[in-house]
Amino acid sequence: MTLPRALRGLLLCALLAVAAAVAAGPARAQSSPVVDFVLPADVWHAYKTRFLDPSGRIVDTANGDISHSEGQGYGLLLAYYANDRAAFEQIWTFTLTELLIRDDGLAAWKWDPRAKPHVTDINNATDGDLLIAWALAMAGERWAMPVYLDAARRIARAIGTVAIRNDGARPIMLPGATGFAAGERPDGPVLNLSYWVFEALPVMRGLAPGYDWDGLFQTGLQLVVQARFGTVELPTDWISAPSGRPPQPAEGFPPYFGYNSLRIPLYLLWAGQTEKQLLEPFLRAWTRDGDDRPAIVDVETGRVIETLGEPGYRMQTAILACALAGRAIPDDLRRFQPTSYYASTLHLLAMTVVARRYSRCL
Amino acid sequence: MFVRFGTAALLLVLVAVVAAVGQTSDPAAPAGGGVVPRATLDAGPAAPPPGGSAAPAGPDTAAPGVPIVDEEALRYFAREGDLDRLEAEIRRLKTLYPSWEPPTDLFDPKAPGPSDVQPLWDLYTAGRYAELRAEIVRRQLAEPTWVPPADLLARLKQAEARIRLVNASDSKQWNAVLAIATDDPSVLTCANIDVLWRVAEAFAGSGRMDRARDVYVYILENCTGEKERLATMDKASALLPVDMVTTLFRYARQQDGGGDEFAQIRLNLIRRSVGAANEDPSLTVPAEDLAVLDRAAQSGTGPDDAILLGFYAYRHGDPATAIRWFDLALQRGGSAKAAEGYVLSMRAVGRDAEAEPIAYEWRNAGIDNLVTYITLATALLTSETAQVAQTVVDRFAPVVTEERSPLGAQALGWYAYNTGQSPTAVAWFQTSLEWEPSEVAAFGLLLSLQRLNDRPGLRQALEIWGTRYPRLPEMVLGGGTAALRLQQRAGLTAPAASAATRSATAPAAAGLAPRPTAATSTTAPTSTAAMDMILVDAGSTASPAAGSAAAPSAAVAAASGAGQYATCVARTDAGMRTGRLSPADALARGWCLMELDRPNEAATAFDLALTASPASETAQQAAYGRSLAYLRLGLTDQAAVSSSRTPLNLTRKAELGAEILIQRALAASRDGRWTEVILAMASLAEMRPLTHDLMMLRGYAHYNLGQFEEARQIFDAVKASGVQIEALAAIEVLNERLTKRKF
Repeated sequence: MTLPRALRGLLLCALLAVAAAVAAGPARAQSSPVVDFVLPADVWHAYKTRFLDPSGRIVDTANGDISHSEGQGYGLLLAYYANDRAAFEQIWTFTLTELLIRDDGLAAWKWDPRAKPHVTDINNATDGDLLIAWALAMAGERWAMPVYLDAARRIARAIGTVAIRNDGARPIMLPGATGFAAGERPDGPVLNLSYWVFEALPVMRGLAPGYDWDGLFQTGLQLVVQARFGTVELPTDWISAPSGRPPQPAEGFPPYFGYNSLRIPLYLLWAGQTEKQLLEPFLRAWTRDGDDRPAIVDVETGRVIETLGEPGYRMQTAILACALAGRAIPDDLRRFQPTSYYASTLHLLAMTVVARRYSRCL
Repeated sequence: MFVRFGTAALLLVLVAVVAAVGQTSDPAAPAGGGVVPRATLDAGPAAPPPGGSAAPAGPDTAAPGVPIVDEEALRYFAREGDLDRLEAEIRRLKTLYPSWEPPTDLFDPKAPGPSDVQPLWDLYTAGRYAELRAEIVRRQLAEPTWVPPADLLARLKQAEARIRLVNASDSKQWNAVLAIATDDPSVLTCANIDVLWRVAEAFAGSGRMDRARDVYVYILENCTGEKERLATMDKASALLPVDMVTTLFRYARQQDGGGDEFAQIRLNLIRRSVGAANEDPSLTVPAEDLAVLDRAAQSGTGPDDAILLGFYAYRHGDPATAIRWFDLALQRGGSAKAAEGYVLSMRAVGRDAEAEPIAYEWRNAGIDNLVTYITLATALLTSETAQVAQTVVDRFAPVVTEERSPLGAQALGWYAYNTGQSPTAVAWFQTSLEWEPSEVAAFGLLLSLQRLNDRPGLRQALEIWGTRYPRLPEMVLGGGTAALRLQQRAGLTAPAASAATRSATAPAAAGLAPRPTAATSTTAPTSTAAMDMILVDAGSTASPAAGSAAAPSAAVAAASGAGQYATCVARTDAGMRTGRLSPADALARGWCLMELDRPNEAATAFDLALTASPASETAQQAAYGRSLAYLRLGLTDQAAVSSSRTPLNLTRKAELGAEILIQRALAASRDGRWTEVILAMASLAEMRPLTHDLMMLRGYAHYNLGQFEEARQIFDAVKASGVQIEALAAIEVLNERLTKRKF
């Protein structure tokens, strides 16, 4: 368990060597070959050191050091990809005892170290639940841990029961158990496209076969194409998606293509969805004027609210350019150095996606 | 503290509950809302057998007599010097293995030293469970044959379950709490009494009170900690219905010094019951419980229990006892509440005048005391029977002024009016109107001005208040034409002096002369006789509270039916104050107050009763009752206001209207207001044929106005109808008068 201490300027080349070593393994899908991949120990160690509290919680450093179910889910996923069973157990212990306390078996979404009780909002966030269940399922299978598999099944069933609704034409996924459904808001249901963790949905189908996960996958693809607002043709983080009508920006939220939506291309590419039709507007918006920094955009005015220069964000542009235009990942993005929690997490996830599916860009 | 038995019983409670949760949940999720698969619940071995271990990790293969005991934890606690945990662990092992003896070398420096699991125990002790979990995995990966100590794992699992359960409980996720407890029943021990409390709270929070009670019973049967037992009863008292809490007292343990351990809690619970019964007098407290509180009140030194018992007695029909308790409470430095209760109880036995000094003394102690005082003084001033001491009037007036009480100003206005001090009455009614416009005060103002014959003033007041209260002109002047005539005669301008006398400052208290005694009452006419007549009539025609109106609550009906008017009033006090009294009860209260000669309050009660649906018998009786209350206040004409405010059924309306007209005529005749007599008779004649008496009255009115021709026609008509003696006498008088006039 000794780890190299040279954390600065870690080259992803090391990572590539590992990837190449296992590239000979059997591909899981014909159309989009997936290679096994282990997140290099140094990279993972740098991430853990910065964001994993000994209590097992992933700390959102840019957000008052709170934690959330999403962060725990990412932490579990990265621990799985880093093949770090101990860290996985550590993060899981916190997730179970502090967040998985809802009557319906889903995770409370927000945990504040300064509040008492720490759970300040008992509502769930469905993407957090998906990420946790997904990581548990993969870890349970790889490490033969029935405890993880049982927990994954329970969460998957709870998501199916609580969050998946059929609006008459298609299955949809509510972002939370309360506050978003058609009956709860005049413009309901309100959905969040970045909660579609596409790659996790087939896994959910295996865990809880009674629900229409495939249909949910298709709904997500459909909405990605439909929810294009303004001249930038980008979705807002929160969309109103009433049955039988085209989606609109949801009331009461800023009409922004915001931090949430940054993840949409990542989740599509993760699942091997590389169609231009799905991804082009994102690439266009992020590479305008020769830039490679994603931006927060007001879709109504086209105004750029904020340009995001952290490597983890630029990496999102890089994987898009890789998948759509075969462009190589820039050298500086192949290295990892922790910045903010969110950018760092997206960086490692994107590294993982590239190594597993798009190693031609490395 | 560490209890080894009974867990199984509690587990049964939980199993039943989670099974129920499972039934209501989505069929696609077999585990239901809980986190525990049903199979685990139903599997016997998951639960410790009865009489088995509270800790789940006991060795299951140890042969009796030669136990193989895991002493790791024991030695760890000894090394750490953690004597509490060491002691608990010895007890636990003794319970598991009765033949086992603790090692004698626990504190021997040469005893087996820290093992390689020491760091793990350190993490456990520090509560660093996530790190401990990670460390166990790390150790297992490094040493595939290594097995973590079963004891450590069991304790860790229990600690995690406890934390998770507490977190779920803090977020009020009751089903999650119960599911976690079911999954890890090992947390359900007296050592984790907080967990037991939270499980009970989860049952109560999800509406399963009987299950919550079962948990409390489990604690009381098994856990011995004195403070914990008391706290358990406190929590049960806060969550369970009183009758369920009462069933828990049988688990009280006798104390060395006599008495049981929950005596104080039981007393508090009784206090709570009595307090609730004081708010809602339909509730009663068992005599046995009252006796307990009675003893506490007698032997104590504070006023609080006496006040509780005083209100209980007052609200439950025993004002005499209530007076004794409130008296005691006042002696013990009792509070505003004691004074308020004392005054209310004194009034309930008709000792209003006696209660007035106390009411006055405590008037500033709280808003309830102030209201009590003003109500009392108002009743005294407007009562027909009470003799009012001058001091009562003198000290009431400044309070009314200071508090700007419209009701108090009205009372002073009526007092002045009924004692022939019309200018003072005018001032008080104007003051009342300035503070808060009301039809009653405007009515009093107009009556007073009328009596003063202040026509410019009357006209001006009519302009102001007649617009706001359109019925007033008719009520005061006895008819639209009369009002018109008066206005015409009054001219167009009001003298400035008249306006000055009506300046809206409160009149000086000294300006109010005492009420005339009976001997002098002829000079300051009141309508007492007429009203008594009306009330006699009311008794026979209205049959209060016994009619077919919506029934009042049994207790109120019983009190009013049995002539216990004070009880009936006391029972309805709280509801009246909050406005939550039912219309039927308000009606009964109104009649009781009338019986007690408290017409002012009766009118308020009838007002509340009028919130019944307008067509109902209750509303009709209330309207009728309010008319009578107004009459009793000395306000003959106000009854007409009342009768037109609520739709009465036609028969009742005609009956009441006719009676009001008769009384108005009688009152007017005594005051020599002959025009009004004639107008009243004319109106009455439109409703029903006049009796001979009334025709005679009408005739005399014409006679007194010098309208001899009209008088003669009437007397002649009476004579023609066959009742001759009186008519003949009248004709004789008339003839005599006419003769004299000729001369």
